[in-house]
Amino acid sequence: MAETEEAVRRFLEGEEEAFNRIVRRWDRKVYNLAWRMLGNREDAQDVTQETFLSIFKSIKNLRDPGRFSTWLYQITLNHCRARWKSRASNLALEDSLSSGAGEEGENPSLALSAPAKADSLEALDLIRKALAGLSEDHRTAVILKEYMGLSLEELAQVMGCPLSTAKSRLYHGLREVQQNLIRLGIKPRAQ
Amino acid sequence: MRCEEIQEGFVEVLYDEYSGSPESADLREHLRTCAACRAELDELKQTRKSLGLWKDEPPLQSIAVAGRKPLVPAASGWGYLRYAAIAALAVISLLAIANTQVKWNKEGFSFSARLWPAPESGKDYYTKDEVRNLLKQALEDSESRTNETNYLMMQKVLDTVEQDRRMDLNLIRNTAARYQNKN
Repeated sequence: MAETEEAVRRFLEGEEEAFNRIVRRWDRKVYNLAWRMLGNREDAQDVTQETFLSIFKSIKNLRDPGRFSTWLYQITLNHCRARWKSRASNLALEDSLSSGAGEEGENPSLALSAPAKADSLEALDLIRKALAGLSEDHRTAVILKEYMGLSLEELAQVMGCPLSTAKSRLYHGLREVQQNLIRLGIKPRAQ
Repeated sequence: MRCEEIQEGFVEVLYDEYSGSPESADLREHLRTCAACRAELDELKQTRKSLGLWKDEPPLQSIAVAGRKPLVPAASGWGYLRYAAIAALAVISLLAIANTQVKWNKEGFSFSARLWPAPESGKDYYTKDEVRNLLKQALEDSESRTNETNYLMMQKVLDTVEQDRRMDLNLIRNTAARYQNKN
């Protein structure tokens, strides 16, 4: 993180090469956040490009380089939101979840535990669908916490809400994922 | 404490981020005594494991960030001038193409391109009617010359025939005169 802060400061001082260091440090995070939010690699690539373009143009407005990651995630989410609204395929995902999935046990061929599908693309697709079925707030909370590795405090900062709200969104998001996975045939096994 | 009241705090346990608040202590105490909440917590842990199957990937392409140039060049005054120059060039080209003239006149074919339409000054080209008349005249001239040539040739033939006839008459007259003298 200190490396990013240093790169941001140097870029603001006029060293343009420092921006490349920022990109190399963060492009994977941004891409994977967008991919999980949108469920589509091409859109994620576009959002990543758009995000760094926005960062390049407005980084001079960043008052505290220590808050760079929070700011970066917020911009990424804004671009995801814009693209999400313009896409019809997301609705198709949600439709497939609501119409294609039956109650637990209705589809015995899918009633396997998650580890049994660990290596299959099908499991990944089901997880993607389980996440796509969440409301935007809940999905954002789950993805930021699970995949971006933010602390609960950072999660609240990125989402721009109190800590208690962030915890609530995360909890309910996880519960919904759990229920969606059961509906899609992946039955979590209690330890 | 009711289970529903503390469940939102499960995330502290799930992610091992205890806040140190009294509620956090109550939560841990509740979990020790409530089998239902422990079961739900275990299910949420399993859900997290399932989510973990979706692994990170590298971006499809590296992000295009120029080494020394900004991603989007700033629209400076010179930038606008450049766009204005390109636009002006395009307008000039369009005008030139629109006012291009190809002519055939007394001096032959000619090609010209102008920005503005040429003024209707002295006409130096043939109209369609004039071209038609010229062709008609040329044909008539040609026909007239042919007729004249034919006439002259016929005249010459007639002259030749007349000359031969006179020579023959002279010959006959002379022969007759010689016989008359002999007798």
